[in-house]
Amino acid sequence: MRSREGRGEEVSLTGPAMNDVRASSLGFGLGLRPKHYEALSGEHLGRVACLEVLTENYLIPGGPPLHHLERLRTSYAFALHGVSLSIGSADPLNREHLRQTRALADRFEAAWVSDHLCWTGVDGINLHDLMPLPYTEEALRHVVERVSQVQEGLGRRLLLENVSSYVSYAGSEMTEWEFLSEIAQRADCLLLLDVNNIYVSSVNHGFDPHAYLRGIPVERVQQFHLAGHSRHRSEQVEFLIDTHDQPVAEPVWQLFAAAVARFGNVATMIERDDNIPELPVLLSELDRARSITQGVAAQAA
Amino acid sequence: MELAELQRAFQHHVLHEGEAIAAQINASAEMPVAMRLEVYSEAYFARLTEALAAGYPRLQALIGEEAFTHLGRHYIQEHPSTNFSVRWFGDRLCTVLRAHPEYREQPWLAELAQWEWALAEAFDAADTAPLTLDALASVAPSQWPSLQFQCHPSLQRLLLRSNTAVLFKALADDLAAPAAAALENPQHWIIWRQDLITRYRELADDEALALVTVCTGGTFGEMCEALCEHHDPEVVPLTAAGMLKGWIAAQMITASF
Repeated sequence: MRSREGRGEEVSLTGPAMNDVRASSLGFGLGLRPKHYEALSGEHLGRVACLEVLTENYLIPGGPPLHHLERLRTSYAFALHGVSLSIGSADPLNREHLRQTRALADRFEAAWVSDHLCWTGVDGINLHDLMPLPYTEEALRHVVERVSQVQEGLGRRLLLENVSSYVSYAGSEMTEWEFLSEIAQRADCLLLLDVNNIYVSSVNHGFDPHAYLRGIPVERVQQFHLAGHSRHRSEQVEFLIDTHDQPVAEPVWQLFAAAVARFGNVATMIERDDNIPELPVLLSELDRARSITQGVAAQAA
Repeated sequence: MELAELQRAFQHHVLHEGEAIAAQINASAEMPVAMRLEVYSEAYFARLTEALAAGYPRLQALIGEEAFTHLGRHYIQEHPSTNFSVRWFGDRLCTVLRAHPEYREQPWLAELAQWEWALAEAFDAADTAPLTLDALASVAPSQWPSLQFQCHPSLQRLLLRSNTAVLFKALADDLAAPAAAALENPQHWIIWRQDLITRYRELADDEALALVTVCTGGTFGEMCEALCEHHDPEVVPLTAAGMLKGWIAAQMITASF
């Protein structure tokens, strides 16, 4: 599946291993938000290599959003990022969602398609949230079976992203990173590591985020996400919520450097969903991601 | 607990504060189970209320944030989302406002919801190519009476019994909304997309009748017959042709000839 050449800047870290099924890196990019349509096709044209397109927002019949994608595709590579696949739900897979996702990916020649390792509802209801799975053999088998169906339906490998969580289940039989790695290997899919989500969950559950990184197989990681979170204090309790409405936090940048050292030159995209600043603010955050990656590469050389 | 059962219990907690899930969650000294679960239930109502407000910003402005949150909570509980996209979550709000005893005495609320939903429908409707004057010019005059047209997929027709259009315009311009009131005579309005811009305008009774005729499969000949209710038959062909030309220029109709 190494068919598409990345348009982004290449920072050489490690050569591909024999069992590496990843596509070429797309370089550094941003989650596409309507607020930035104009700046991305005008003043700041070409400042990023790729855009991450929120799948469900474009599963619509027509109109301006799809028109903007048509315009932007001439300058940027696209990756599709969905929120409603619900790969872990006990409900049957939504075939219509899958069909429309594939049509969108084909139409815009998406470099890859990602969604979250979670469930979003059951009994036909969509909570529109990324609900955590128990890390059990039962859930593992269920997800692996469904990833195969999804990859067949999409005609391409799926990337699964780790989510932030606020609960852990008494019935879990393994760590989150063991669960994620097992799925990637058994289902032969790829991973989108959200560095912020690893950090948020590590604080909320009290695990070592570096142990998480060490537990993930290098050749499965196709993409990184960076985002901001919020700190919540209530009585004596402090916890983090994955709000995507803040700049990337310092500890997340540090964890990102460790992730780059382990996984190499992986496509890196910043997500901001709320409190969205002007494009240059996000571009300068992306510059920092770029310079961290280059710094790690220089050290490795 | 099996996966399906666990998910049902968790979902029941998010939707109805069900307690069965709590026993499945690890407690920690720092953060009790109830607080952990609350993150999900609170986020659920906040997120879906926000999604409703994004679809109905003028309705929210008219009734105020507090009343809108109250309405949202009722709606979210009665009509949980069943679509893979949150885009369609608010599709039944107009129906709820029409039927609910708390709101049905203020019919402009349902109409404003209908109006805002129509705007959304027009905005991302299919990009079907509109009929052009050139295409129409290629049709022999003898064929005109049997010509059929279709509404562009973006075209939405509304019949308003309150001063909803005036309310909407004031709210959209961030002006103080005038008092809501019933109209003496109902108004026909259309909302549609021209190029990439969503537009709206009022239709006079004759044009509304003509448009509904062609949009429900009637021929140009039948449209002319319908217009005889409003006009002298002698001027009807010219009036009808003028309307058709206007609809074509505004990209409101399509045709397959």
